[in-house]
Amino acid sequence: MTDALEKPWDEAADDRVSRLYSAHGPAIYARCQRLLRDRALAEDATQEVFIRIYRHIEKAPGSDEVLAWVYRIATNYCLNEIRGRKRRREVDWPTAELQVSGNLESALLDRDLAARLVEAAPTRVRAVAWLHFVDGMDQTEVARVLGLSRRTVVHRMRAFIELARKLAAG
Amino acid sequence: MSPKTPHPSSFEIDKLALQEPASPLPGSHLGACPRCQEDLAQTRAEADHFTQAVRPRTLPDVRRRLTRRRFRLWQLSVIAAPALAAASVMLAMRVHWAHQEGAAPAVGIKGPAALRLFVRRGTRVFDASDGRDLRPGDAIRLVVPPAGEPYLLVASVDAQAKASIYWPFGGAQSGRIDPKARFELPGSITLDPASPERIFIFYSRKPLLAEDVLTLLRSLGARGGEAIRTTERVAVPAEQQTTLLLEKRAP
Repeated sequence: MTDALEKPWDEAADDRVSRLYSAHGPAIYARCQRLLRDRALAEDATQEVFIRIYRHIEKAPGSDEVLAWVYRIATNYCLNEIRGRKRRREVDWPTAELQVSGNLESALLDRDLAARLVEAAPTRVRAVAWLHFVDGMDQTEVARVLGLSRRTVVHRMRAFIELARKLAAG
Repeated sequence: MSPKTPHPSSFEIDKLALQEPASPLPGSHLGACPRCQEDLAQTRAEADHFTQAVRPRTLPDVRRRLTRRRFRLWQLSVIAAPALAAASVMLAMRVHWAHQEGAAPAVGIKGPAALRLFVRRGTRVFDASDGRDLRPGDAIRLVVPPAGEPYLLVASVDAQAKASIYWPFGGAQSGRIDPKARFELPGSITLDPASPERIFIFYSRKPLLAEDVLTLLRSLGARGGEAIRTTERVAVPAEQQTTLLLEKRAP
């Protein structure tokens, strides 16, 4: 038997949404803004990311890892958005800049150039490459934020570098 | 290969900006590095912008979206239940028709999936469509699914061989209904202690005489509680029939 008069939504849940939005919203928004570089897009992305987070809140890790978890969801969402926008127009490979630089390692220290290259990279390696080359995380941090093994991170970074080398070689 | 940079990562800077306990930062570097200070200031500015401008503007929409989703799930369960019940009735009808065509119609239509029974007990109202966990004194209401027939008769028999017509209450024959719409019996029925009790719903093209039905049901009741529990069809000239067994237990 079930209560026929069960309330579908209550004030406690409403308060919970408000509290969690206040707690995680600033980090999500700052992260989305950094990736998307557009406040209107970041605002939309923040809502989408928060709704994903809210729906999976029971999977949230302990307080030490919450920011990394939020970062992962926001990063994946925004990179997919960027990829979707790229698909709708010409893929903009920064080949010329890589060739002019002549040195791949120093070229990838340019965050803007690295970001453009990552945006055009295959889905599988994109998040790893972004966190490492654009956000400046070391392999351990990347593994922690994305919930991957360090070995997987290394493999994906190698794949990304191989792609960049091919572009630099023309 | 990794970027050989003295800068802390964006993650470290964001942690610091968002005032979480941050990993140790190279203090002298952060104090002296314009790029890191700019990143730190930018994250703080964006977080403040969210709190002051974005959050107040977007929170109602976020709430509405999450609320609407929950509400839709709740609505879906309410909507799906009659649909499932109707599907069960269709399935049961096929079984029923198959038995009519066969030689030994030993299995009748299952009642619990076909109709809805709501109980009011004190201030609590709940769905008891399985017919179990009922108590004497409970007030019940029945919602009957459509079966495509224009006449309906609802009757019951209990372990004391007492037969009653529940709808049309006190009537001499079946009442007319919309053959395509659910029908909620008006008023409620207060259960007495006699258990088990079986409710029969008869759908027909022509009205059934109440007295004929009552005679058959009294005969069934006279055979005892076990006969009531196991008999899911009676020999009434109805095109379709369904039934629900009520088991009542004193608290």
